[in-house]
Amino acid sequence: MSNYPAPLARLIRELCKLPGIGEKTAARLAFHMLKEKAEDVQELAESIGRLKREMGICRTCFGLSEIDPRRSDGAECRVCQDPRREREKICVVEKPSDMMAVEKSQEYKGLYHVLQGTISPLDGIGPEALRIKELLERVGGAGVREVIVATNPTVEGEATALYLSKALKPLGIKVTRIARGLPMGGDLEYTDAVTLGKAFEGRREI
Amino acid sequence: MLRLVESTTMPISSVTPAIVLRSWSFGESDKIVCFLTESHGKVTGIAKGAKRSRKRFVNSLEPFSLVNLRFHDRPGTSLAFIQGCDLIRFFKQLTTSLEKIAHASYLMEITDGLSGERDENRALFAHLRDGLNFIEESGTSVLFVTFFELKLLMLSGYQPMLSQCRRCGKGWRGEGQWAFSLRDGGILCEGCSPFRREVLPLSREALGAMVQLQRANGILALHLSSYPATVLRESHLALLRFIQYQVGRELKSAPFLDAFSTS
Ligand SMILES: [Zn+2]
Ligand SMILES: [Zn+2]
Repeated sequence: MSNYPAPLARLIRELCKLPGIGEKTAARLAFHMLKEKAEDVQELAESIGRLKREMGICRTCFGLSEIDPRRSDGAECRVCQDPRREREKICVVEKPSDMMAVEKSQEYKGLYHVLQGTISPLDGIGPEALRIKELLERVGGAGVREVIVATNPTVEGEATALYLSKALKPLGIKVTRIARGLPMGGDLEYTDAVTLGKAFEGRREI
Repeated sequence: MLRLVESTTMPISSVTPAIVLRSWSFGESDKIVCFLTESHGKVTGIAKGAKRSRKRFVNSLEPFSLVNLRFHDRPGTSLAFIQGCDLIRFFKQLTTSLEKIAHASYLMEITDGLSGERDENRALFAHLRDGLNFIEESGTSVLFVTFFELKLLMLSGYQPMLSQCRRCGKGWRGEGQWAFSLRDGGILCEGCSPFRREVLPLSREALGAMVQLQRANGILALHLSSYPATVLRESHLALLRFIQYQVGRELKSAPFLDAFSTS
């Protein structure tokens, strides 16, 4: 990298820090930008800068949200603001990207709550480190009838689901857990035993 | 001739039953996994593509899984290359309650802390497997945890001396207030404990329970013994302190044993 002129070397060094980008790819990208029109490169730089300035965490569900400069505690995300969403359902996920994944499925029309992590005894992460208190406050308010726990099917995800179920049941809320099943295009023969067992447990009438 | 060249350059794979102690993400698509194996002690390796590939590693890299591990070593690094990992048994009941998850996590963490990398210890592997099996089938108790800790300390070479004073040899049934010395790895009589700073006072009942449990044959013999809950708690807390002393750090899962216990 030392052979490159300094501004180019600096960009390559920065690009290398991105996931999945090695020095070769970084150099290719940098040379590409060098060839591009100045406005286009400026546009890219501007949108990267705006990302950190304008993105924040939703004050209600803790999902990703655009920052409202008029409020110090952040804005609500698009989902929370949407009057067409079913307000009696809250889907609990571990992280913002999980919320995006559920949104992409277009199956779910309710609200979300992003815990910002999972309970993990091996990492010393307890319920107080997550946004669980805020969830209980939301649920304690009016109108919520069902909480759908969509944490990952890992030991930590299960621990979190068990904890939530224990904390929410006394409030008279229906608590459900998303089913674990076979992926589309899957094959019983090549499905691992745990997934197959869970798929049988979660079977339903047709 | 060709065969000879091949055999000297191809890495030698090992296959062994193993228990997944913990795993964490590495980069975008890989995972680092730490196993306790039956024939190679603790092995830490990289599972390439484990975060993405459905087929190769699915469900076999989660903590508490009993697997058949295939790995080989790579030159210049202690991080093994994980070739494959087939599930032998997933302890299904372990994840059905917070109490079981907390206890299984604790067994993982203390076994991890007291076992050595590449240090073959078949009895230690069997002990952890039996421990997980016990929680899976019978649930948890302080009695079980205390027994597990004592046998783990014995198998990993840290067995505390509980039958007599570490300094003067006086028998544990002798008079006076006894104390557990973390530094000495055993008990001290009333006359000897003022010579040490890091000592925990120990009731005779707790001492008696630990001496008996240290001699117990196996987990199955546990239902024959009955001790008051306070005595077992005292024993467990002394052993926890001792294990933390040996491992050299606080155990992250220890507070969860209390927080998530129903009894
Ligand atoms: Zn929101
Ligand atoms: Zn003495």
